[in-house]
Amino acid sequence: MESLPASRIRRGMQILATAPRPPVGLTPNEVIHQQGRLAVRYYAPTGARRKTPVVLVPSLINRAYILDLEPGRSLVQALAAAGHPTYLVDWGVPQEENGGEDVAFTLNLLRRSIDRACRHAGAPGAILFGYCMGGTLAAMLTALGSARVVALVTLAAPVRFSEGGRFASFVTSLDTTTAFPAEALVPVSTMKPAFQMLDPVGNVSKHLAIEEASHDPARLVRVLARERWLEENVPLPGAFASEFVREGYQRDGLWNETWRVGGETVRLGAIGVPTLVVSCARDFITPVAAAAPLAERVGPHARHVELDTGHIGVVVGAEGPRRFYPLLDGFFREVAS
Amino acid sequence: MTTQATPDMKQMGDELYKHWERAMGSWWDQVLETPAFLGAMGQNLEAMAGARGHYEKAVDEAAERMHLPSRSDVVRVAKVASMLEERLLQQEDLVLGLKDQMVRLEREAVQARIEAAEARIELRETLADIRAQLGGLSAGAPVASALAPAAAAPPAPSAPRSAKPRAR
Repeated sequence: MESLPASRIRRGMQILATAPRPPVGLTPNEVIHQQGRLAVRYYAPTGARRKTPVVLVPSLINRAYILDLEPGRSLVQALAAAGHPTYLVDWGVPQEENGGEDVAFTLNLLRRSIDRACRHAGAPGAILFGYCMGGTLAAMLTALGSARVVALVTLAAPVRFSEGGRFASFVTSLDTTTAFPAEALVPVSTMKPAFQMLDPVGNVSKHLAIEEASHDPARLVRVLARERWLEENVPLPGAFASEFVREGYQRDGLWNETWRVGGETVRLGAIGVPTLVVSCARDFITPVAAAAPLAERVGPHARHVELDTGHIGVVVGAEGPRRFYPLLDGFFREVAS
Repeated sequence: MTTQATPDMKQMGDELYKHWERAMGSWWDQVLETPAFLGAMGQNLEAMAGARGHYEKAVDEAAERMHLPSRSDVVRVAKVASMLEERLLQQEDLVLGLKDQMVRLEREAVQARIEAAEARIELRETLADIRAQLGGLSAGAPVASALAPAAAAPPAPSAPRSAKPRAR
């Protein structure tokens, strides 16, 4: 009865436990700026070179290589091939000394990264692309006013946190001061269970998918690369986590315009550059209702696109090269030279 | 004894699994939204943070008793290094900003010099025209009516040379 689901799940578990993880982040790149753990990686365009650089900002709680997972399923590779000078903000892995870094400090790191990318590209401004939490930070930086940002794209980035789905429910009544001590790191062991609980049944069913993929070596590599990324979470600075959960999820501070960074209130309506807001219909980490309202708040120079995919599938699934990468390329060509 | 299920058995197994998945999904949906679960989850997070804090404190005390640098000593030194790096990069920001300003000023100065040089050339050309026409007058040639506009409206010195037609 080896074809029955229970046996296949067991085999999937065995494969996941024993199979070596494939290499990731293989697109050639050059580090053009570094500050502590942070590195800005440059991916030289291979097609007809365009002038305006694109700066990609991933989430802080995962590895940046999700945007360069494997050849053919790599956003950086696709953008570089389309001629865009592409820069990836790799946040790295925070160490104990980074525990006190808050949102203002992180936005300052981002501001400097964009500046160095523009200098390296010899361009006055850049297109800013933020994914998940990175999208929220990108929107915040643009709202606070950055002369270097000429256009903004957010992908699955929460801005209306009260609509943040199950994760919002998890953290609404949390005592952030106790749960996330300001000077310490929030370890992976604390955050991972919360993310696993977002889709408890999916944690079982994925083994079935792994077993199915094991019949096709190329597909298995793809699945294992994604699993590797899911396994390699990074800790979060306590001060950042505490502020993000308190001001974002508990007070809905971006939507209510109460979130102050460095003494300044973040007003999303102040974003004055062309903006593309992308949300995913099957996203249970950032539901559409949490991401899409950015377009409404920014106004007529923003537009919203909803894709029929999930939070991770949108960049590394089949929908990435088929729909999402061309969508980005088209927007970049529309808004900048 | 066979180990392979027939296609029918496999299909039935898949159907059963889908039913189980749906049922478990809706059960979890209910459980995860209950105040009891959410409260317990919050308490668990807080307890984990507390336990970690106690553990780190104990490790620090043990290291101190052995006259070894504690974890917090190492973290403190690393923090100082991070702060120094930030200060250095702030200085770099300033230097780069000044460099941008200098490039801008230099560009403006060069532009002003080019415009002044162009104005001088224009003036010289106008003078040469006037001289030529005066030379013609003294040689007994008829008075050129074009002399009047050239003398009445000298070229504006700030306008770029290429932008306006030359008065001949």
